[in-house]
This record gives sequence, C-alpha cells and structure tokens, in this order.
Amino acid sequence: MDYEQAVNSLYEGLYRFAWSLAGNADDAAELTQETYARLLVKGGQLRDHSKVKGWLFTTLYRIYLGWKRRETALPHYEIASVEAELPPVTPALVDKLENEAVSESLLEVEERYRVPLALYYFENHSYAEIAKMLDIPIGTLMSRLSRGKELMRKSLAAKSIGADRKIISINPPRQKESHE
Amino acid sequence: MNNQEAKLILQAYRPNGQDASDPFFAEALEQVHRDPELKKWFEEETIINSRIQARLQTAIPFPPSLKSELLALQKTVQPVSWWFQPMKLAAVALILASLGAILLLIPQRPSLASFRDTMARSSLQTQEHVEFQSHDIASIQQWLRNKNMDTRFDLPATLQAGAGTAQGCRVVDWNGHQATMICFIVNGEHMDLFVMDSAGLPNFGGTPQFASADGLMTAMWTGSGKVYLLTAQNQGVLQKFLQHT
Repeated sequence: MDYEQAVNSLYEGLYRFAWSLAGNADDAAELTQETYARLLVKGGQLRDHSKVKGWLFTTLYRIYLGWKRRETALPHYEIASVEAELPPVTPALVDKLENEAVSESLLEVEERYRVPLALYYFENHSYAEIAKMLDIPIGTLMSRLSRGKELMRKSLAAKSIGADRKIISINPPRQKESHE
Repeated sequence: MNNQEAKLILQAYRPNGQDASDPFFAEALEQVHRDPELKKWFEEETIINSRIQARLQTAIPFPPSLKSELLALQKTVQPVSWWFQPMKLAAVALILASLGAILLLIPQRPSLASFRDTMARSSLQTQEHVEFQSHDIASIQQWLRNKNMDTRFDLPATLQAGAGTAQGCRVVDWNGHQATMICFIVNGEHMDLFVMDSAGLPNFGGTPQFASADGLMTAMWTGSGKVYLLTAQNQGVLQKFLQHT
C-alpha cells in the first residue's frame, strides 16, 4: 500500500476516530495530519504493508495520549440520578434521534470506554484488532465495550426525552493548554 | 456459559456478521440458538448496533480540504532514507554499537540533545509542573532570585509584549547545572521557556534550531552566554511565536 492509497482508503475512518477522541473538528484534523506525517517519515520501517491500517490507528491513539500527558486531569462528573426515568433503547428510539445526538452521546462516554467503542463503530474493527491497538487484554476489552455501550445508550435515552442536560458531561473536549 | 457471559462476549460481535465464523463467538452463538430470550436480545442488539454505526458514520462531517492536505504532506515531509531498510539498518546498528563502545571510553562533553531531552521531559511533566504559580512575571523573577537563579536574560519579544500569560516557574536540574523554566499560555497554546548559562554547550547563535523531543517540538538558540529552549506542541506554533520575536 503506498501513501496515496493509505490516504484514499483510510483517512475517513482515521478522522472519525480522531474526532471521537478529540471531540472537535480542528483537533481531529490535526491528529489525522500528524499521523499521516509520521507514516511518511517512518513508513519505511513497516515491513508488512498489510499492517498499515493497524499502525495508523495505533499511532493516532498514541499521539493523542501524548497530547493528553500535558493536560490537567479533566473534571469528571458523575451520572445524575435520572437513570430510573430513562426509556429502553430500541431501534425505533435510535431512528428517532438526530445524527448529532448520536455522535454527542458517543462523546459523552468516558474516554476509556469511548475509545474501543469508536474503533468498533467507526471502522468496524474486530475485538482482536482493538485489543491489540489499545494493548489491553481481550477480557478487559469486552468489559469496556459492554460498559461503553451501556453508557452511550443511557445518554441516547436521555436525549430522547430531552433530559440530556440532566444527565452527564463525562468528558469535555480536550484542552491542550491547561495545566496542573 | 450462562446468558450474562454470552451477552458480554456478544457485545464485541460486529453487526455486519463478519464474526459469524470466528470460534471466539461460537459458544455464545450456540447459547443464542438455545435460548429464545437471549436470541431476542441478540437480534435487537444487532439492529441497534447497526443503526448506531450507520448514524455515526454519517454524523461527522469531514473538513473539505482534509484529503488534499494529507496528500500534499508528501511534498513537505521527507520520507526516511534508505538506511531504515532492515538489512542496512542492522549494519548501521552494528557500526553504531562499535562506535558507542569506543565513545564510552572518551570523556563526554555536555550535549545539546541531552539538554533538549531533559527540558522536554520537564515540559511534559504534569505533576508539579511548576513550583511557583503566578501570572505575574515580576513575582516569578523575584521567586527565582530567591532561589539564587540569574534572571538577567531576555524574554522573547512576544512575551515581553504581553502576548502570553505566565503560569509559574520552577528550577530544573541538568547535569549539575540549574535551568530556569517559565511556563506560559500563548494564544491557548502551552509553552515552556528554559534558560540556562551555556554550561559548556556550544554557542550556535541567535537563530532558533528546531528539533523534536519526546513528542514535543523545541526551538533552541543562544545569546549572551545563555542557552534558551522553548517547547510547544508543534513546530507551527513555535514558528508563529518566534516570527514575532
């Protein structure tokens, strides 16, 4: 796979993953660009070109973690106690929601659950690929996917009854400049 | 396997059926066929996942210029040269290892790379990033003087013009020499400025030299017996900042 093929076939999925991490378009574009710049610089070290996709996603995630090392610990709010009022999430409820509400719900999930969820939904990665990219045991991945889906659905349910303001802002967008 | 365990495993099952023949899911899928209640849950789960996936894949708009910007990177980023090829890399590594063994026997001079790496690590340090917190440069200078640090150095003109907000400072040790670190936020970007007596480092003039270290970009220059090093998230931020200096 040459560089242009890597851009043409993978940049959309990579950008979506970056967006799910950063929570905004500017940072997502910057993360994507930095990842492809590293592919240009280091791509020659990739002996197996079939692994370019996994390498790109892993690299993007590591760049993001590098950014995060500079952050203040982000405020973390607990889920408010509206859970009992929430309707069950059904296909019909998902159909009723705007696209934006669905993407917002993903962003509201705490990061350690959101990252595997984004890889699962955006690029259709298998459990084994995701576990390898995130360097976590498969059992841990199962738990995180399960918990991530549960949190996302609570948020979807809350949005369906207009209660999203009451429920959570678990993980606000990244703030590169902040300090401890 | 009970239904609870099967549900946990099936949360990783992809809605498009790609995992149907994966042995990892075989036992859970057998349980689905045996238990009508689990089957109903699994069918609904697959539909919900499929709908969420479809929504997410269309929910995020792409910056229209992103693809062309990525393709244009080829013109500005230099690919690695031939020596990253595995066999040649091995040969180079052997030569370097031999040279390293020889160099170990020669007394070492302080190196710019070592200084840069130490300062970059300090810049990345999130715990106790600054020892003294203040937005006021005069207070920071006073605190540094109380620590017997020399504060007679030139701040970059952009900072002198009040473009950034100081966050605090601390003293960083490098090979027995002490460097001043002042932390700033400039246009929303975090930057750290390190200043130290040249301490035997080569004088390479006032033109900033850019290099990456530990995932950060750094610009380093010298003047009046001091070495200056500025860190930021990327080179664009540094260049923008320094072009006004």
